[in-house]
Amino acid sequence: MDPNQETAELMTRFLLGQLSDEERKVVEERFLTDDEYFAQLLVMEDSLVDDYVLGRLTGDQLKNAEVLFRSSAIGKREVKFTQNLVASLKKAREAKEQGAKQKTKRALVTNQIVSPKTSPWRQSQASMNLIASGFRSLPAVFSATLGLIILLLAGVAIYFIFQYQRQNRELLAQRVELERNFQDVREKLNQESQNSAELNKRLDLETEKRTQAEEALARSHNSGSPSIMSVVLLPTIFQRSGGAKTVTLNTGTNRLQLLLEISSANYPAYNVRIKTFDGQTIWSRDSIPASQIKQSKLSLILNSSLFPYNDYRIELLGQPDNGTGQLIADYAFKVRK
Amino acid sequence: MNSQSDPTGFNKFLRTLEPNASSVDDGFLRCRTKLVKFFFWRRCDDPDNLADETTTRLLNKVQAGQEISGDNPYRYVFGIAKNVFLEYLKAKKKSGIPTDIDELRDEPALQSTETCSSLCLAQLSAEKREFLEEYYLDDIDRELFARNKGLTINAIRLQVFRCREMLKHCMENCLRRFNSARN
Repeated sequence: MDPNQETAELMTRFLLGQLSDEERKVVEERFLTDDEYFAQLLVMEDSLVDDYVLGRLTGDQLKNAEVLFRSSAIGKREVKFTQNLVASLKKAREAKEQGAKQKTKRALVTNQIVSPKTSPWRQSQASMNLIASGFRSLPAVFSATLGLIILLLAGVAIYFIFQYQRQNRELLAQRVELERNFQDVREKLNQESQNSAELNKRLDLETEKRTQAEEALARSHNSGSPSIMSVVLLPTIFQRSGGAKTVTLNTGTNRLQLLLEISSANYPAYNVRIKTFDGQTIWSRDSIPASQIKQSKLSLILNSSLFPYNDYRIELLGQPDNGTGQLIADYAFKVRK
Repeated sequence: MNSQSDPTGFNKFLRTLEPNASSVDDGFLRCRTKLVKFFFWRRCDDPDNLADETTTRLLNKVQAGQEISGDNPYRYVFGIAKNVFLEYLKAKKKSGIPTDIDELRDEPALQSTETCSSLCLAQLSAEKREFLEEYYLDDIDRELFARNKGLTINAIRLQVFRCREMLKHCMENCLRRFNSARN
């Protein structure tokens, strides 16, 4: 049975003798016949004993409870039982707390055990103490002098440390400065090489423009009868032999286009010398840019009047950036009119 | 029924009185316990005696063939108990016996009480012991205590009551052994 608040209060008032005769009769008849109601009254009675023993009752409640629990041996037994129970519980708790304290204390004692003599820390400390006591036993003057010397040494050491740190700082500053300079120089070099590349590009462009201009000029001169003869020449072992190509120039041919076959264009620029087999240089040009090589052929458009009836050889030299030209190939052709 | 002893008649009556009892003896014990409490709660100084008086009169009545009719046989018991109480009050008034009992009769020796108390407490489970410790020693309001435990107030009361009953039972046995050992 789980009584509501009203029932619980009614039961408490009944136990404390605070009900009217009629109310009391109702409760008494009920608990005699209703086992659950009776059981609940016993529970409430126990609570009342607890409140009485623990000093939670005041005023009329306390007075009435005292009358109840002092009225008979039963009541007194209930109070005594509760008092003994409280005392036993207190004792048990104290014993528990005491046991816990002793455990902690034991732990502390364990921690306070001095470490054995073999502890290195203690050994070094003992040594220091020995040294200190040794110093203490020396004469005062000696101690003073020794003290002064130690101070002096300490001062010198501090000075050297200071100097070292200063030098270190200076070196660091120099290093930073050097690095900065190096950075500047590198940047300048980069700039220079960029400029040089730019210049080379412009030079190539100008050369190409010049070649185009020459061609245009040639074309304009021969505007009545623009006549050009192209001939492709392959590298050869130059001989005035039948291997050389024969170019037959007509009277109307104004220009001769020589297309020199170049197997690998590895040079940035080329030099060309056109000579007779007698060694006479008919025409030459240096620093022809590699960009002028199209489809592995270097084109040279020249005035046909340069080439009278004869045999000719062409020397092609590769021009590296630094150094002299390297002979790459020879070509030969004959002009017949 | 005649006035001679007729246990079967009384037993039958007890079965009517305490239908939930496991046996006739159990039924009698229940009835007697209720009567003891009846007189105790009426602040009588000797509830045990008065309860016995009531049950004796009841037995006599039943054995004498008294017809106890009605749907509530305890009303009859209640009537007898009230008469016994009134007679008690009259006798008390006449004799002037103080109602205040200062000393317990046959109080067990302090040492045996303490010993038995500790022993019986130790027999409780750690959980129950801790519960009782908190309830009695922690000076906390019963309502708050119940709330902390997540129980109703009555559930707390019931748990305490059961623990006390176990301890009381244990104490009785323990003290009996002490006394028999002493004797």
